[in-house]
Amino acid sequence: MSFTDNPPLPSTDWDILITGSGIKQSLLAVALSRAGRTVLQIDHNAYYGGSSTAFYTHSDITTWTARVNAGHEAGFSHAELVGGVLGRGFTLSLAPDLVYWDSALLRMLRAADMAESFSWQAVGSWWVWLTDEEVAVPAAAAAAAAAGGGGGALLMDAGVKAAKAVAAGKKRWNKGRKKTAAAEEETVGEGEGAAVADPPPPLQEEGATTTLRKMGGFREVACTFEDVAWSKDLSDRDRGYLGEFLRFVMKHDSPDPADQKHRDIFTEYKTKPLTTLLTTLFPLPPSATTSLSSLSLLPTPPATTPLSTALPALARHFRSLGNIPDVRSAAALTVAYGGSAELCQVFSRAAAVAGGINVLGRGVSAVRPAEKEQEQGEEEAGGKQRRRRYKVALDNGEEIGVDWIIGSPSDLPSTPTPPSPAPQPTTTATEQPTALYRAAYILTADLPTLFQKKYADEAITPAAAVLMVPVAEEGGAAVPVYILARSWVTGECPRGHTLLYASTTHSYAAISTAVSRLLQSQEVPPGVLLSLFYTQTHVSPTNTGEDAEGVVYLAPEEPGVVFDDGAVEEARGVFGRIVGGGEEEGFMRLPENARRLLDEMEEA
Amino acid sequence: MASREEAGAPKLSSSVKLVLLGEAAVGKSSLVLRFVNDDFQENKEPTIGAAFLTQKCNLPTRTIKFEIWDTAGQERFASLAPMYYRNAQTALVVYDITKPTSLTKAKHWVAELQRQASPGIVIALVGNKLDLASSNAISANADDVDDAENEDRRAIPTSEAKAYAEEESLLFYETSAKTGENVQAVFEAIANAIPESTLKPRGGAGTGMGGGARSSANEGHSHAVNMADATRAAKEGCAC
Repeated sequence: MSFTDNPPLPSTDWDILITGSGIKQSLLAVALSRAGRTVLQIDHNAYYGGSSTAFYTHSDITTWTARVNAGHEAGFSHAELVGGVLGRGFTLSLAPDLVYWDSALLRMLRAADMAESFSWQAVGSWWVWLTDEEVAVPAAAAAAAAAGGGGGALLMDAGVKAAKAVAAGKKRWNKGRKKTAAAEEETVGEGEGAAVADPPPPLQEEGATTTLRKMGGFREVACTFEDVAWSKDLSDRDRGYLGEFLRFVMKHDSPDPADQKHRDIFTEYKTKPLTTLLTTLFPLPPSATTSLSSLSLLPTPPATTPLSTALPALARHFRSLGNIPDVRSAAALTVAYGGSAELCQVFSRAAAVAGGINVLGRGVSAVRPAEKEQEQGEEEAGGKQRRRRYKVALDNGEEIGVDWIIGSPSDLPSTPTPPSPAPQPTTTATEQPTALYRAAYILTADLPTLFQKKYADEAITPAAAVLMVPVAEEGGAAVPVYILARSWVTGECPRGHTLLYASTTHSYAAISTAVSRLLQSQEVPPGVLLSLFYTQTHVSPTNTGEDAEGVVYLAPEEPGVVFDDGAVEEARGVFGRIVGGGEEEGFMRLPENARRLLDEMEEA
Repeated sequence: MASREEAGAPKLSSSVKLVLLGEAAVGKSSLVLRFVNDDFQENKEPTIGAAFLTQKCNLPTRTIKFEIWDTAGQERFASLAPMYYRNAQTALVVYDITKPTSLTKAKHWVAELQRQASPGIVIALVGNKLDLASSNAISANADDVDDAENEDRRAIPTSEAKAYAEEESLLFYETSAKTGENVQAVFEAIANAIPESTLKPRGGAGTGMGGGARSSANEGHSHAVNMADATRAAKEGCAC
């Protein structure tokens, strides 16, 4: 807001200057303030969040779009705004991330007494676009390969079960696909129980209906025991292999000696694509492979995603599944009011509550090391603060002294010393696509099918859903387009509206195709009030690591559908480097006096 | 103090998010401290501590549990986030009756609330530091030895602020966080003024810091995942 006091800063002397208010900066602002450091957090933008911000008015969006196209927003390009003017009551987020139940973010928030600072809502269902022809393709070729190959031997006891399933499947192959007979329960029970925590359902009566929903050309991805057991698209043999595969997913990194065989498979197949494993060791129909890969939320198709990337992504899904209270069919959550944009705002406020100062609309204009000669002569006598490492000129003319400067390279226009060769980033060293095409749509209808409760016994109604549309690339594998749909109960749009967030490495055209398929899958195709397309470039981290003593360049945020837990780990690492001396464990920990205050309030 | 069991009684009981706004150093935190702890600290440091404080207000017809959000100093540098206003059912816009610019600032905040906050928000305009005005200075000076404090330092006439408040349909009070004058009255007036339709049952869905998604609490089914129970379960799990 423009009418604030704009007084001078309360001090010219700070332990730490943080530039920017993205996830990592805001996390560090809380953590360091809570650890008793004096923290000044500034952002040259007039809003919080940086590349994870949210827009609340139409002019917010048009201003940002213009800045992107003028090249003023690092990491963004090619913004296109189509459609009408947005009224009051919308929140359009650049980072509507979903958060897995089993995630570093949630663990950290719980430890920091901050989990309840957000309104968490459930991501209810996953859907994939599959044609009837695609679903009808059995794992025929794969089955042949597995029967004749060494798959069974490698799997040892798992292989025996799989072979049993194959035998059973062969007998009933034709009939079995049509009816879900009670006999199927035997094979299902073996593999599936390990991965999905739910107790086995009562024996299925002949002719009972599947729990998997359909919506036009979209099919719900199996997420519970019942789904797999009663799916009409899976044969008994498919179910057997699926169970074995899920067990492998859960145990591929288990330290238990009994799981050696799973680790061995992982080691052997690590660099091979997910598809390879799902056509050889665990032969599944292509439709099942597509469905499984949609759970990874990875931008690459299963035919090119190495197992080393795919498996951790699938594991986080299945480790989360069934654990969210009152909504056992869900694996992921999302934060109401804008996803990660909300995280940034709440973190920055938490930093202020812990004594930090946030200043919006202020940037850094110059950084220089504090002069050497002064440093020697002035080992100050009594009461005076010791000399800070850096003098930082802010763009309103104020000058401050700081020991640490934290920010992304784009927020720090002049570096104190030429950057040395960057150390390798600590995040997963997989090849990231360079550009992610993204879009936000505001629809003028509720999409009730997407947000229905899956089971009547669930107390929570989902507020979001994920859809995946594979878009064929000429001569190559189908590239996924992910759509995260958010209902009005997220507080991000008025009733009678729905938000869609789409992303793909393919193209804007692929997004348009995918979204139009979703719209056409509704009984009455909803209208589009507005759409915003933009390209988010993965900036290669050339300038990360600790380049000069006291300067921390944060790696660029990883754009994606799911919250990047790497951000938490990176912030934790930076925190440890700054506080040192055994205080590392105190990352985000609430100070004792604040803790007492909270406890007192809880009792009242 | 009302127990959870009594919440089922016919008397309405509800949590209400209240946000404080106003220029720095007008006494926002002091007002809260007086209301919550019946305490006052001279030369209080800018607010550090909790994300919000809670205090119950018992009225004949309803019990309101205020969740009182302080600015944590964020009003100073254009750094109050939209999440601060969100789902606030009521706002206390505070100025200092001895400082004319602070009323100008208060008017800006009122305009900002009318633009950004929920349409039904109840706004109270509060002129603080009433103890520094002459009539009060005289009546409250028994312990004061310093004559300078008896001077009437009021710079904003009551009538001026009151006229503005009436124009904008705001509740209006002049208070002293120092003596406690009118502090309880402000909160009681607010508690009375909140329309029944915006009151949600205590402990209902989404009463986290960010508030629940608007109006979802009245749907008869829940959208918010209960993190409190989950957190407790996780902690207990760790302990064994």
